[in-house]
Amino acid sequence: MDNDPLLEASDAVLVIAISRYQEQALAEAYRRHAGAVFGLARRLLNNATMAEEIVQEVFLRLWNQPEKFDPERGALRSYLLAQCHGRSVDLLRSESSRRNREERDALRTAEGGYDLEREVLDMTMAEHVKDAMGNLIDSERRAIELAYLGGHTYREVAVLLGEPEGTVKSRIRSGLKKMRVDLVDAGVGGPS
Amino acid sequence: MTTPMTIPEIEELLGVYALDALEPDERAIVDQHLTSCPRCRAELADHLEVAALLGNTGAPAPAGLWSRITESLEDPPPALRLVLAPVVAVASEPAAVAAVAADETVPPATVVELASRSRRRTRILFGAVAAAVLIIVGLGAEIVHQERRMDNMAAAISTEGLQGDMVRAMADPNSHKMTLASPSGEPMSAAAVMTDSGTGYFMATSMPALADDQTYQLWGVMGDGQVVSLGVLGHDPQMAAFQASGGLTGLAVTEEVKGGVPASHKPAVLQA
Repeated sequence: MDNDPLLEASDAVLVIAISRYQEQALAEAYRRHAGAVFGLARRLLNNATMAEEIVQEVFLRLWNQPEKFDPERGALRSYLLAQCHGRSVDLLRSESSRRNREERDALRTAEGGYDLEREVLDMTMAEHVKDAMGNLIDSERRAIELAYLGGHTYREVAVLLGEPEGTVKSRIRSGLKKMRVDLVDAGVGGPS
Repeated sequence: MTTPMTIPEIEELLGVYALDALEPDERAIVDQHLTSCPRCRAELADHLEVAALLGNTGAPAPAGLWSRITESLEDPPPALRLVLAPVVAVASEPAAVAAVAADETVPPATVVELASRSRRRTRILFGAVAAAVLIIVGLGAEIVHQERRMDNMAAAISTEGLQGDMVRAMADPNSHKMTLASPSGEPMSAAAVMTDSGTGYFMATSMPALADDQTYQLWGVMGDGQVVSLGVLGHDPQMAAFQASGGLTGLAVTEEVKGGVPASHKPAVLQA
C-alpha cells in the first residue's frame, strides 16, 4: 500500500475514483473520515451500536451515490459529518428513540450539561475549538450545543432557553460565524 | 409557511440549517433557495465546516466495521458481453473517434467481457478499416447507468479542488502531457496530463459551450486499440479528472447528447 496513489489523492479525486467503483478509494475515504463520523454519531446517540450503523449507512451512501457529494458545498469530511448528523438526528427524533434520548438527556444533566471542553480534549484542534466556543456569549454557545449536539430543532431550543425563536436563529448563525473567524485565525479551516 | 420568505429571512436560517435544527417545511424552502444562490451556498459550507469541528471527538472507528461495510457493498454485476454491429464505413467522417487510434493494425473487433467491478466501463472496439466506425449494440441500461454515475461526478467536481492536483501532475516529470487539437482546424483546444498512477486531468483551454442538451465526452485510446469512455465533460467544460488504467495512447473528445453515450460514431472535435 506504500505506493498506493490513493493515499496521496485529494478527496475530490477519491470521490471520482469511488464513482468508478474503486473499492480502495472508498477504503481510503473511510480511513480518513470514519473515526470522525463514528465519534459524532456516538456522541449524538449515546449508543455505539447505533453509531456503527450510521457509519455504515454514510459510507454505503457515498459508495452508491457519490454524485450527491458537491465539492462546492464544502469538504468531504463536512459532507460525511452532515450526513451522519442528519441521520442521527432523524433517529433521535423518532418515536422509537424517545426513551433513549430522555435517558441520555438525564445523564447529561446529571453530568452538568454538554461539556464540550472535556469531550473534545482528544481532538487535534481541541484547544482551538474550545477557545472559539469560549469566545461566544453563553446564549450563543448553549443554542449551538442544544441544536447540534442535543439534536433539538431551533424551536425546541427556543423553548428550552426561554428565548424567542428569532433570537435563537440569529444567535446560532452569529455564533457559527464568530467561531469560524476564530478558527480561521487559528489556522483551522480555510478562508471563505 | 403561508407567506413566502424574504432572502434575509432565508439567510437567517442558514446557521440553523447547518445544524439540522430546521423544521422540514423551512428546510425545503432553504433547499430551494440554495439551488440558485451561490452566496448562501458558500455561507452554508462555512457553517458546515465549523459544525464538523464541533462534532469531531477524534475517536477511531471500531475494529471490524470496515469489514461489515465491504460485505454490504453491492455484488459485482455479471460480466457484460458487448456485441459488435457490422462495420460501417463512414467516408464522410474521416476524423471519427476510431481514426484517432494509434495503431491501425488492430485485429478485427473481438468480444470483450467486463469482468471486474473496477473496470466497469464501456469499451468500444474497432477494426482497422480506415475511417470506419464500429458501433456497439446490445448494451443494456446498466452501462448507461454506470456512465451517468461517472458523468454526474465529473460535472459535480468543481475546478477549484482539481486545479492544484493538475498543477502538481503537470510539474511531475514522469507524467505524460498531451495537447488536444481540432483535426479539422477549428479554433478550439484542450490540454491533458496523465500521471503514473492512472489519474488524468483534462483542462479545456478553448472549447465553445454547447447547447444545454448536449455535452462533450472524453474518450481514451488504449494501447490495444480499444476506445474507452473516460466520462462526460458537460456542455461548457473547464476541468475534470479521470481514471485510465495503463496503456493510454491517445485522447479524443466528441460532442454528444446530454448524459453521454456508451459508444460514439461522431467525429472527434478534439484529439491528441
